[in-house]
Amino acid sequence: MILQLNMSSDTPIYMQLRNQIVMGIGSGELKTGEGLPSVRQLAVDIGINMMTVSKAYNILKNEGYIEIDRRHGAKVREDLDSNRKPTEKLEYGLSLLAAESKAKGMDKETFLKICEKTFNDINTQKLKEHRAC
Amino acid sequence: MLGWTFGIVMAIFLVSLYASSLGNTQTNIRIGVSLPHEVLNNGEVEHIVKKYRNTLMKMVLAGAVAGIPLFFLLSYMSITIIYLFTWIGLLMYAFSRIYSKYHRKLLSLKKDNRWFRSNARIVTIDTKVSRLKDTLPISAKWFILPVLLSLSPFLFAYFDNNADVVLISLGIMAVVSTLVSILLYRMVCDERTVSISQDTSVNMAYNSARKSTLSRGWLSFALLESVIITVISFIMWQFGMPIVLMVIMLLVLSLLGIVIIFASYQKVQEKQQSLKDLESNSVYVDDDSGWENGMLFYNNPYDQRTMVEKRVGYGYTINIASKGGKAFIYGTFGFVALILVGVTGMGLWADFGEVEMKMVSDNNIIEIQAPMYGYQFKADDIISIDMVDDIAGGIRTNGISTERYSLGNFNIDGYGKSKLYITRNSPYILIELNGLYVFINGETEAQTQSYYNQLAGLMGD
Repeated sequence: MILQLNMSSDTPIYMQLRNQIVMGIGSGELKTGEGLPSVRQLAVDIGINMMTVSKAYNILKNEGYIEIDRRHGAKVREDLDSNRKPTEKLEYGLSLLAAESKAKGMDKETFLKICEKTFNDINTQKLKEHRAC
Repeated sequence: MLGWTFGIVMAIFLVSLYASSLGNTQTNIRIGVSLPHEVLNNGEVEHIVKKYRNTLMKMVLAGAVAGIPLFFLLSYMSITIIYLFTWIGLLMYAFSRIYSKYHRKLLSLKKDNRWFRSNARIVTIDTKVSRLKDTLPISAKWFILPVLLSLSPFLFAYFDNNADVVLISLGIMAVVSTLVSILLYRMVCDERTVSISQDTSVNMAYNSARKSTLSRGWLSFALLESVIITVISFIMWQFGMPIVLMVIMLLVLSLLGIVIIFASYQKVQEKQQSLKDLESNSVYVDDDSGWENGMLFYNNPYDQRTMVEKRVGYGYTINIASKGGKAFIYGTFGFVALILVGVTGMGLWADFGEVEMKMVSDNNIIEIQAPMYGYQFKADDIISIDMVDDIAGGIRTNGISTERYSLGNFNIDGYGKSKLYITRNSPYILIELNGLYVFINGETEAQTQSYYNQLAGLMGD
């Protein structure tokens, strides 16, 4: 997949990395079991400290998206779908969005429609463009 | 001789200034401004580029004319040097003014037409290319071969007793060129990957074109140099060879090496361009804002690298926003300033300063006191002394020679290795030592005569 990082954004680089890799997995651009660059390679290619990449990978590992093998490096977990579900975080995020939408007068149907559409075509490009602003 | 040297230096300078204006038309960069491919043949763009070149041509011609007076000043070293430095400085200033003017013109045309699409702060990475990056260049193991080969002259030198200095220098040459090519191979391997497309396979091909071709190029370079130097040193060891022939072979060899590297870069550019041309789903990277004035230096504080690949032309340049880059720039400026002041000062001193040459003798020791090139020898070492009125001619090897005097080490016709401490206004005393001749005289004829009597007296003892 193609990562696009904005070096002068308010969002920290490790967060941008984490978010884009999650989007990549969600949209299918990154397949389960697909390898990721090593911490060193990615740090050299982006031109940042290895610690930053390492931080993003550790978050992804703790959240259960990737696994890090000593010999084969980092890769997307094979058993992703049967893994622990991010319900708590999802509920928090969604309730915040639902409240914001309701406060501004959006009805339930429109909200659900947007949710459905977003879920059906997860688009990494959108996130990148948003970040690039 | 001196005139020719200056003439060649000036010609090379002018040609390189003009050549730098041509740039590489295969890339999408014109006068340091990156443009979308579809507007490269735009009339307005071409008009600006053409005007830029014409102005530069006029500047080069004016520079050539302005350089002519230099050849009438050659007898005064200091004025020649100051003239040359001023000439180079003014031309570089004119060049940067012309360059900036047209660079800004093209940049504003780009802005007006909104040919921007992204900025230098966005870094694009293809995860697959980044992951497989190390597999793209040829394996480093291949370099074992040139490393071993470059050691062979030392082996020959070990078995040989006659030419071993030449063999060892050949060995050092082979080792150094192998090490340099390994270093440059490493730099190619460490270069960042580039993403030009949303399509990973295109990105793979694009990066492979560079890393694979250039790494093979450096390997071929190392192999060629080490194999040929091995052959030369083998012939040297077994059969002997005139040094001149060896030097010619080494020159041809270096030229071949340069050809290999240039051909590799050319090939990379062709392959990458064909990929770019085919690409419809491209990620257009607009890195104008990362480049100082569009091409001279890379200045991007969001990038930690010290060395980056050049945007126009071959090789690397430095990131002046990085710590290492800053140190390099200040170091270079300091060094150049030191050289400029030093050389000009030396020239002024040599032409107009007080140069005092004196001979003093203390018992058996004769000392010639002179700035920088002072010398002393024992009276017992003198084979003969003589008075001569004229010196046929010769080559300065390390010394100063002006209208007023000659000082330092020379190779004088008919004598060979000599040291000169002479002014132009009286006959010279020629002192023959073992394998070395010393020419000396005083400010006046009387002084010279007194030196001669002193020396004759010492020899008589």
